Amino acid sequence: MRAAAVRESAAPPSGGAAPGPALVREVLEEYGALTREALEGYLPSLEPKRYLYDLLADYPRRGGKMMRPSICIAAGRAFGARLDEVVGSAAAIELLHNALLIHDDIEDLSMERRGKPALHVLHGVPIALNVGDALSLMSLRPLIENRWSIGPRLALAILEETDRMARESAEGQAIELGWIRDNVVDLDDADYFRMILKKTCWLAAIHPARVGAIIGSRGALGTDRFVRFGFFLGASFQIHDDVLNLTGDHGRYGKEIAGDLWEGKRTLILIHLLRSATREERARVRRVLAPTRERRDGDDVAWLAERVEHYDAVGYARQVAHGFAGAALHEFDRELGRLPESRDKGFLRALATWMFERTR
Amino acid sequence: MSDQGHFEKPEPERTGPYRQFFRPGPLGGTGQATARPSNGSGDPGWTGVVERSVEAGYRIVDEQLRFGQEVAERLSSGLTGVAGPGAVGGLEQMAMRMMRSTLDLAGLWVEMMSSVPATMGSWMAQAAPVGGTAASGGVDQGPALSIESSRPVEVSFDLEPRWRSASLAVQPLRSATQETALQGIELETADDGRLRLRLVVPDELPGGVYTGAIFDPRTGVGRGTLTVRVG
Repeated sequence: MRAAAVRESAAPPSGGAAPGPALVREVLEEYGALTREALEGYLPSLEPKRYLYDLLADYPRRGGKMMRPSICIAAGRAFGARLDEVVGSAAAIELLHNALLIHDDIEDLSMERRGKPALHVLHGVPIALNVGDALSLMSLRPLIENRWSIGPRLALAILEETDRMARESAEGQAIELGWIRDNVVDLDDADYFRMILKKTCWLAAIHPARVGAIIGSRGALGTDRFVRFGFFLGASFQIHDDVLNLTGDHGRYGKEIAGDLWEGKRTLILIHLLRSATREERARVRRVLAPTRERRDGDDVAWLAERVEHYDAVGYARQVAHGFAGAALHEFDRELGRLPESRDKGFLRALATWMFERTR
Repeated sequence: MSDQGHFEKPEPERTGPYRQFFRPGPLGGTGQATARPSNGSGDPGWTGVVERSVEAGYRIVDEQLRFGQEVAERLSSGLTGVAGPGAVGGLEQMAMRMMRSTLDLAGLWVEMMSSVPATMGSWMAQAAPVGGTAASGGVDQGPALSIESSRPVEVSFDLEPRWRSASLAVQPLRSATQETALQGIELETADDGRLRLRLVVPDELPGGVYTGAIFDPRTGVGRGTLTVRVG
């Protein structure tokens, strides 16, 4: 454990502390490194390496943003937890996140992840599925070992939270997959918000913040806490991700540009296009989205992208994301306003605006 | 025109800034070909999008929270068939639910259930046969046990895995209700690196629960606890 290398959380953010975006980058790097170190301890080097154990480490070692574990650690420390009390839970969150990415890439027929071919592209669907299964089970290990660092009562509380998050995430993913399978196009923004609350926001923000705060507060956290903050933060993150998917630089973004259009994802951008389009255009969008990804025509996808630009659907999504970031800041003050200023508190606050600086 | 022949400005419909851009009904409407929303701040289109979206966001989160509260109420009152009566009636019940639902998935859970004695019941290492000697290692990487006792004995062992190959010792076990201590407990590392616990329960030892610390004899630092219930 490199606890000694971590800066003192109680230090106020003023007086030479990095400004918002720089602080976020700094904390993500620092807590990300700590999480990776802890996470490596849960990835055994056993046989069969070629078909399982080497592959378990593939996505985690590709270098994600580490936002989820960093939120967990920062929330925990802002509430008074020691680093060694939260880093295991942070590692569990990152392990589960990577496990779900493997399965998501299969379900969405995604080709790339973090700048490289997706795991199922490299090794085939059966092996990738099994690696995802194993990784998700291994994410339980740090939660089990929590009993030594935070005691059995809090360890069970974190398991309960994990159970809640896992159900929400699965429901959100199911809703999105169902929309694609059944070619549902009669959607409004509220449908989309409801879906990403479950699919994205729980694992991206609500769960990490709640887990950290539960540990830091020794379990004295209401069931509603951080749900609103996490929703607005996570939704802002997801909508900006959808924007990057269409406008990002491929080298930085690490995923296929316009992949969401190829995959028929029901993003806020697509929903705005459907709402803005003429009757004839809407009928064509529906026809374009009907086949599976492999049978979708490149010219049709290019037409979708052109219509998205015509109706400024990206601009619309950006506006919503900015509004949500503002709401996240408002909720941040409600949730953490009374806590003493600290570097971790500053990090959590600055996350809301950092979302728009990121390019991946 | 007034009676004096001057023009008068009509009374304005409003005197304050226009801030309310929210339109009731489905967010964003449906099926309308709309002009491009502008991006300029202060533009009604921009503000309206943000206001309506945030309002919808709050509505959806609140829906979710209400739903969660309703589910929790149903679970706690035992009205649901999902988890059964008393599903959230305490840590032990929750732990038992978890154990039942996850034992099939992974052996990982076995260890969890076997090592949270304070909350979920003891790690039931061995009930020694009457008048006999028993040896068992339990279900996980717990210590190998060697017990000599004429009465049933239940051993609870609370020791973090990383200390299970260290050189450790056990204090005489004390009882809250008996004067006599249970002494002479040996803890040693076997050739296979596994911890081995030797326990002899004298016939004259009164029945009861005996507890003591497991510690590192070099530093005196406690590493765990050992509890023995003698029938």
